[in-house]
Amino acid sequence: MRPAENLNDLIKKLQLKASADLDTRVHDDISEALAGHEKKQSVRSEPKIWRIIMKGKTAKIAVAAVILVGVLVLTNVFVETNKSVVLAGVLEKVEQARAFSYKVEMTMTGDMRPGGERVIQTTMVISNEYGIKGETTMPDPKTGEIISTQMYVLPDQKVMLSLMPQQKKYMRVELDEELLARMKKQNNDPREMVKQMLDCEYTELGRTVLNGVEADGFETTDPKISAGMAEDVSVKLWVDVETWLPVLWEVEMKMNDQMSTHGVVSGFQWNVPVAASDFEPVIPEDFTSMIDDGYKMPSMTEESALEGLKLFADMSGQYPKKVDMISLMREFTTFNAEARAKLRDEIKQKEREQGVMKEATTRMLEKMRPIQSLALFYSTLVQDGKEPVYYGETVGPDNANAVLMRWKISDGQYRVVFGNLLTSDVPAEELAKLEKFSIDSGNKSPSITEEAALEDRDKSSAIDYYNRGDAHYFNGEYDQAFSELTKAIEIDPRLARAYVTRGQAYNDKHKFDLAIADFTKVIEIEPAKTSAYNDRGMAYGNNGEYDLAVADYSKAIEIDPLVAEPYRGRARVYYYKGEFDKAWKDVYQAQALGHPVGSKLLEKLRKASGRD
Amino acid sequence: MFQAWKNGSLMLQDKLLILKFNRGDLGALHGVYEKYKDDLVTLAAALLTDVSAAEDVVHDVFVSFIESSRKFRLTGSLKGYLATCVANNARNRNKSQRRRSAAVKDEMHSAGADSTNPEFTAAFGEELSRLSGALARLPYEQREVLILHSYSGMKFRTIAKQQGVSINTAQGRYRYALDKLRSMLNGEARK
Repeated sequence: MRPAENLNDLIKKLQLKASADLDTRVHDDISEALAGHEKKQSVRSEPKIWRIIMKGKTAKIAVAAVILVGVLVLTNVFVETNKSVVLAGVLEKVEQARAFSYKVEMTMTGDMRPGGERVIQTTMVISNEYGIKGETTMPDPKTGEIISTQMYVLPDQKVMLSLMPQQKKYMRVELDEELLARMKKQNNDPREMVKQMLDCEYTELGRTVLNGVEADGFETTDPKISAGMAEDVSVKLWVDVETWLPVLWEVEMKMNDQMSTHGVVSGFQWNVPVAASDFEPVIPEDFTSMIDDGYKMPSMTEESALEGLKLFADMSGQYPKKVDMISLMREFTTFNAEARAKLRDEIKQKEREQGVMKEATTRMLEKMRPIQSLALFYSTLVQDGKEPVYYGETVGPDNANAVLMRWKISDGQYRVVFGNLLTSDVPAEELAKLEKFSIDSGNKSPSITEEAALEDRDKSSAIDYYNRGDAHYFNGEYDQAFSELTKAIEIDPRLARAYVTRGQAYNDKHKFDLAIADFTKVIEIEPAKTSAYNDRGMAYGNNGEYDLAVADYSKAIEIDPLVAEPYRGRARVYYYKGEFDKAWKDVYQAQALGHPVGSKLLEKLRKASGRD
Repeated sequence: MFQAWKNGSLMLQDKLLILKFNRGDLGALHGVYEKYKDDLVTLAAALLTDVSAAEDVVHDVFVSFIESSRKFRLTGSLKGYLATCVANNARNRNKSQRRRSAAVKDEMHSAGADSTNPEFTAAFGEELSRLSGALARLPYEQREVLILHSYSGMKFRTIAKQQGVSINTAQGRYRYALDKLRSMLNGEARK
């Protein structure tokens, strides 16, 4: 028998050389892209939010979210009213249907790559008694394979359940009263759909024949109908003149320059037979949950929306420019890594306090929840015709008394959210005054003091110093690195990464005391960071302070037991302390976590402990 | 006093490449390719047991890297990112290949029991030809875990996610792969 280590070592020896042919192919492609890139550098495109979402592990969640949002939007279109004789009759007819089904085909353009297209097909069954059931098929963004998803909304249990048979995964999400009421109202009651259309400005398209059915058409381009999701929207509804039931609903939405969606809802069947058992999904035993049970959908309350604004401002120092779902999510993904890492650390810290470690997906979803709440809340305001106006492009957290957002609560009364996130109800006349101030202030930003502006400029120059220092360090130019990094720290004494790099540079130069001091500073600034303890553990170890090193590595492991690096570091310190059993244990742990342990350390450890 | 230990200046070098890349400096890709090409070709070849397919994989990965350069920001480890891209690309290739060969020869086993590619085993030189031959006889999923873990140093957690299986399953595949490899190598040695 050969020990596993030998085979592993053998595998590591595998080494091929890339052929000259491959070299030419790749370098040529890069140079070609480079030439093209320089030509059109001015038209730097924005990141494609859908592409980013669909690529990662969040893909299926995003699909579910798209479906949910789609359901909210799509089904907003049939309506109750006396504006039109035909539609009034439609309502009566539709009211009698206990259960009905329809098909949705959405063609999304530009979500994967410019010009690329994806088709999502859904069959919906809606029962007044039991709930909603939908089957969706769409191509996997990575492989192009068709994946299917079953979705249920079960009002009695207050849950939304999605099953993904190919992946053997499921997702169970609790719905709160408000969301449920909204979904119930909108989905179980086709009157809501027509109502929304007739609440908008619409035109009559006259009569035509669709699949042998004579139908009257109506069209609206009122932005209200897309609940603020699209820049341009056009919705057409065709109604059977004989039965007065909807036969076709068509929506064209342009999200932005690159993305658009074409949706067709057709194949309506009224009074389809349904049984309770159709709405009793069974989760096969070998399916695993994508998220922790008990996960709740983002709520749509004012409170959660304010939380979203606050979170956004905490992360980026400003409010989102727009608050519709697409723009908001796009802005969110352009946040820098530092802001995201900070948020992740905060969430982990909270989890530790509560004594729970969550699934990564759940964590990600929870992170984004207040932001989604903000978009959902805004879209409900649009849908409910409350005339929301949002001034995020001009009003920031510093404009304490400027109007950030407002909407109508009753005739002549408005609710206002100010730049400091306090709220107030004001009559229309006062709103006009406040808003004038808000719009003016946006242009000149008078409430940002010069001091604050100076501070902002300083912060960005601190980062410039840091970047230069980092580059010098990488090039081995230690003196320049020290001076740039020290300058960065002088300007912004809380710039943790400047301490990290300077600490590493001190460590390289065997100035362990100074390295330890820098890493200690990092821990002060970011107490929840595994890597900070790991770094200081390394410096303590190098300084011969083994007990302190072990304590730091252990702390790093306590913060995140799944990171391998500290185990490897601690193994090394245990080796120097002569505690070989403990050293081996950490070596195995590091290896189990997929981190190779240096062959020199292994060799020394084997020799010293007499094991292999 | 032992030699002071560093937290990997390699990682800092990558950080700089990523920084340049995220600022839209595509020229950084020449360096990225030069730095990782051999490792990536080896990884792809070990996964697919086919050297020319491996080069195609690496080419594909860089092409999509170039295409997407202005659409996303790189975070995390560059090497890990590239290895993941190669693994995904290789997996898809293997899948479609299996589908094709299943369509042509329905009765034959898809895992390529007798289809070891001599060009592949020769590529690694004499010393490793037995190992590469044995690798080629492992089922794809097992070989994938083994190579990603042992060669690329990827965590089981990461591999499991990519394969869409539990960590236990991934570790199980790893153990099976090692056991099989061991018995194949010992078996041949005894011959």
